[in-house]
Amino acid sequence: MMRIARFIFLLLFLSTSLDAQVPFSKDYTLSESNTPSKINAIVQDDIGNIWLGTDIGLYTFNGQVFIKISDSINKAVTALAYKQNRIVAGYSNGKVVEIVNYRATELHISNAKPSSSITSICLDASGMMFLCTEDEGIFLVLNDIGQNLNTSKGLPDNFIYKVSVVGDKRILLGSDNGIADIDWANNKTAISLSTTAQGLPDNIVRVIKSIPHSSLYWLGTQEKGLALYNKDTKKVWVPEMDGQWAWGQVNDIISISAHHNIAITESGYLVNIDLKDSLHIAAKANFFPNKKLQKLLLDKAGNLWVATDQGLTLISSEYISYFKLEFPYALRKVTAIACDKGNALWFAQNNELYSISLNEAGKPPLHVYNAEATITSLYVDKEDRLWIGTFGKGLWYRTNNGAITRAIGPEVLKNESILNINGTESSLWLAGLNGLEELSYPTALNKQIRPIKHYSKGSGIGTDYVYELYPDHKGNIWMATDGAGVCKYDGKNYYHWNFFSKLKNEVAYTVSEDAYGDIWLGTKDLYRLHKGYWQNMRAAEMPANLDANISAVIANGSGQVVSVYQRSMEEWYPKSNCFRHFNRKLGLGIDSTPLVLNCVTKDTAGNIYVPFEKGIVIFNKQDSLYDIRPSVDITNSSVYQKNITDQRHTFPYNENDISFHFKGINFTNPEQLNYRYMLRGYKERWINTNDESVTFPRLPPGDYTFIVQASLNNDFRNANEDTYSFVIATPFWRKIWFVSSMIILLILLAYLIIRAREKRLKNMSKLQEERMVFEYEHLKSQVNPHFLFNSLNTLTNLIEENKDTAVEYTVNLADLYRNMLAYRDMDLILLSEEWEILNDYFYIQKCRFGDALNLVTDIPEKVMNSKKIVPLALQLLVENAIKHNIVSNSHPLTIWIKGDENEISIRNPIQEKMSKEKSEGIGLKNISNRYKLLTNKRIKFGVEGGEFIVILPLL
Amino acid sequence: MPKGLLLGKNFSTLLYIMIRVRAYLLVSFLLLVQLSQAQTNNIYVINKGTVRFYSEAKQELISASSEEIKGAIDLGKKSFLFKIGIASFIGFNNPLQREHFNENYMETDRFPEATYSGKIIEDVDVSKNGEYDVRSKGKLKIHGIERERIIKAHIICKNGTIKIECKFIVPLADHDIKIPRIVMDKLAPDINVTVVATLIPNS
Repeated sequence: MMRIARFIFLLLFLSTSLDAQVPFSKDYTLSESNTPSKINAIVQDDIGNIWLGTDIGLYTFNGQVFIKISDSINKAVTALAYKQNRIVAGYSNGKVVEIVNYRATELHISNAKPSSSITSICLDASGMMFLCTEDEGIFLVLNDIGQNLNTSKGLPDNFIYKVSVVGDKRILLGSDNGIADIDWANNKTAISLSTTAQGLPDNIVRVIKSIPHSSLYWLGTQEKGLALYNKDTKKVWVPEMDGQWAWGQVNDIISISAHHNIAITESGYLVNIDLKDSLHIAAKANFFPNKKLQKLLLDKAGNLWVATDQGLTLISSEYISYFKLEFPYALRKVTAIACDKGNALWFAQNNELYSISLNEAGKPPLHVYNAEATITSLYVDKEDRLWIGTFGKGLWYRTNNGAITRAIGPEVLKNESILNINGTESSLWLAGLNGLEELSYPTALNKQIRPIKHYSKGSGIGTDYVYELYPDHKGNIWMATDGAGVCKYDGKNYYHWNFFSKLKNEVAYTVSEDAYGDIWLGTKDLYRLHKGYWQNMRAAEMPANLDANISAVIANGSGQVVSVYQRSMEEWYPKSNCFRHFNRKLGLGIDSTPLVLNCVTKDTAGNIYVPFEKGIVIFNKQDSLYDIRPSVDITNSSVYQKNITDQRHTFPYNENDISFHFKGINFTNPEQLNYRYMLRGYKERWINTNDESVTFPRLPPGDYTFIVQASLNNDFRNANEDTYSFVIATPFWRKIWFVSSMIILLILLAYLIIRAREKRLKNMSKLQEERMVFEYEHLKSQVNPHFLFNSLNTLTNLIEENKDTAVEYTVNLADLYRNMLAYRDMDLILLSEEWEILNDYFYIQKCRFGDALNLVTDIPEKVMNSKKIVPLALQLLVENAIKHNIVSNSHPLTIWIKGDENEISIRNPIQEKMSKEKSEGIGLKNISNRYKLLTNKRIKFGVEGGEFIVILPLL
Repeated sequence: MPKGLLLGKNFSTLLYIMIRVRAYLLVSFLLLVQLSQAQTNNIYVINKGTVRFYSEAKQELISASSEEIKGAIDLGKKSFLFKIGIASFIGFNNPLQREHFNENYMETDRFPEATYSGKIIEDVDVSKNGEYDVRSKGKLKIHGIERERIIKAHIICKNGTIKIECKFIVPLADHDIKIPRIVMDKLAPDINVTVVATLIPNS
């Protein structure tokens, strides 16, 4: 019994405190096996990656996959912080890591470091890191040197939940025993404490969050909800609200502006808080059953991410939510919709008119009226009258006292089939099957409606069928027509643009104006009139996203344009220059049938309402400028498939096979990510791809910049990009210094070769010359009359004495001359050959002088046949010895010839003749010159111990 | 149908019943050491106390209790420690259930005690008779796994004694107590625990 009573009470309570508008949400689990894992911390970096600290480690999420960042700690990650490209994670054992390039490196803190679980981390602009712990107070870490503040230094408690940097050298801590405002600006630490005695509702303060553009901070407590703290006055107070805080322990808060704050609780509530003034708040909650909401993040695209004990939940409330019709109520076919000035929504399902109040949750639509025919159009005018257009039964309206009556006026209103109703300040405009009627509004005194003007095919519209009318802010009436495309009427003239007639389709279904004054037109495509030109806004969209059957287009109060198709919706983000697509792929449960997704309306605040099966979708006017463009990050680069782990940007010439891996980051429509890239310095041409890596094999040396861009469609004009510049070094042999020194070397070499060759030629010609001189002289000497006379004389004597010897002598003489002729033009001859000449010559001389002339030789046989000598040198030297010395029986002359491996020596005692034979003196000189030309070995000659010695080198 | 009957019928599956217990406190060694030095009138020790847990599952209600809770509160330091021997729980639906409780689920020989120690957030003035709702915050250790918990307690001060009543939930998953799939319907994933204890000044 008690339980039932409590349940009823709970229901009553919930119905008043819960928000009538429910966000769409989508749950993610970290692993493919869908095992729930508790997420303790969440941050987003500047590129857009979401970082998650979980019980099972550190993860990063790009919208499509969760990637685990391995660390060496293997404990639960309990805190994360991001500032200025620095990501720091704290663990349940007090360890801290920093993440660089998707790699975690433990920070080694010296002096004082935590050993208990890190509850939160904060980084300030100076690089100081604040670590809050469960049992040890707070650690201030600068340049890896830690300093500990705990109860012994004046902190209220050692369990610190949260730190917030209040200013330079000033922080605010939340603990189990109130808050501490710590200031150490003047070299001395001043701690100011606030507890329940100072007005804190609860001493356990788990969250501290600054409210932008104010001195105020939200304090989130364990059981008493929210409080405010003013950093200037150091005062704490509890703002008033209707009822009590009923949503449990506050786990996180984000503050977008004073009027827009979101708190989440352990009990599963997401509470939207409006700080009306510093003393009053209004709160509305959404409930997420079976989840403990831990931490909150608002990403750049307006997605709210909630870290829970089960995983990660995406919440759409910043841009889209819905008014939920209680089960089993479902919309079947919605033919018209309008929003009145009191935020009641009116809609028609065929003949039936319903209303719902957007401020009350959980109530089914109220049936208001049963019309005589299908209601085709609803319009709320400036006086909050609801105009009801029917198909075939004319025009009706509802006054603000609730009565619905037929419009009294021209006959045509009674049976007209109305397609659309709209209004300007002074006139009511009606589009029907017979063209356009401009009518006066009824007044309190005169209910009669007066026709002002009739517009038709004949008057200039070009057709009688106008599907939709839109008066723009300049007073023009825009018409979406069947048969004449879009038509503008400025009060005098009609303007037509049949720009899409090439499609053989002159039907326009819907026309609207956006917050910038551009006109939007729905045909088979979606066009925008911007600066005088119509553009097809969906030209760059992926074919898979194109839903041809547009039913409505409308702009919200913050510039986004919503177009509704039979099976999907799109929201144009003008600043991002792309669409956010709401379709089945998104997994938010927005899909609906074409009969319901049929019409749109807008409230006075600029929110857009679209009926769908489960209720009414609300496209919120967006206070913040969200950017839904994807970003892209080059996650690593590799050379020959080996990752570049250092920060290298220069590679040797042979490391020229370079791959880049990149990933797009997008949480809006990640399935649509596509990329284009260019390698500047290689090919100045964009290449489109769906792959997330690219390889450039065999790059020539040079300076390159790799650029990759990501987009959700085929239009990259406004895309985010990432770049990586690198250099492939020129090999040393292609460097200028090397090439030029090589050229110089070559020239030098050629010069040397030429010079050497010239020298050699010169030597050769000189040798030639010498040889010719020698030959001449030698021949001359051999045909010298003395020699001939002596030889012939000797021969005469021999003929007389011994015929045989004479014959031999003659043969020798002949041999001598023949050999001399044979060898004379050679540069070198074998020693044995020279020896033969010498023997012939000596035989002749021996015959002449007999015992007075002796030759003693000592030359090894081996040398004879291996060594060479200048031809006729020995013969010449022997001849000289005979020529210059006395050879007689009383003074016999003995010539010694001795040789070894290297040289040969010719010696004879000096017994100078009184009268010298005439000599040219060229013998020794000629031999010496010839040696000079042939070799660097020199001949030696001179007098030693009464002997004349000549030493010839052997070659 | 009386619970006993159901038990009898499904005797074999009942084996799996388990229970977990939650803990209750007691005098820590540390506190005892401090005791001798501290002002004795700030220390209160448990005179008499009961810890009861119950698991309300689809098919079966299991409950057991123990009076062997020990513990002390130091009101000067606003700290406390309680403990209880797991083996002391009695009152299961049948002896086998108790055996499973000790052997399969709580692994009593490895983790013989459950403890809860920490601090008291709110101030309590025991010199006056009165009632307070306070929060205790500390580490609840069951099955060897420590969890940081905030547990609310109702305190009644009367004539120098303190009576504590509190009620809380222990999720089995938090303490790594695994439930075989086959007994899912017989054992709740969250166990309710109530503690009632009277403390008197330590003399």
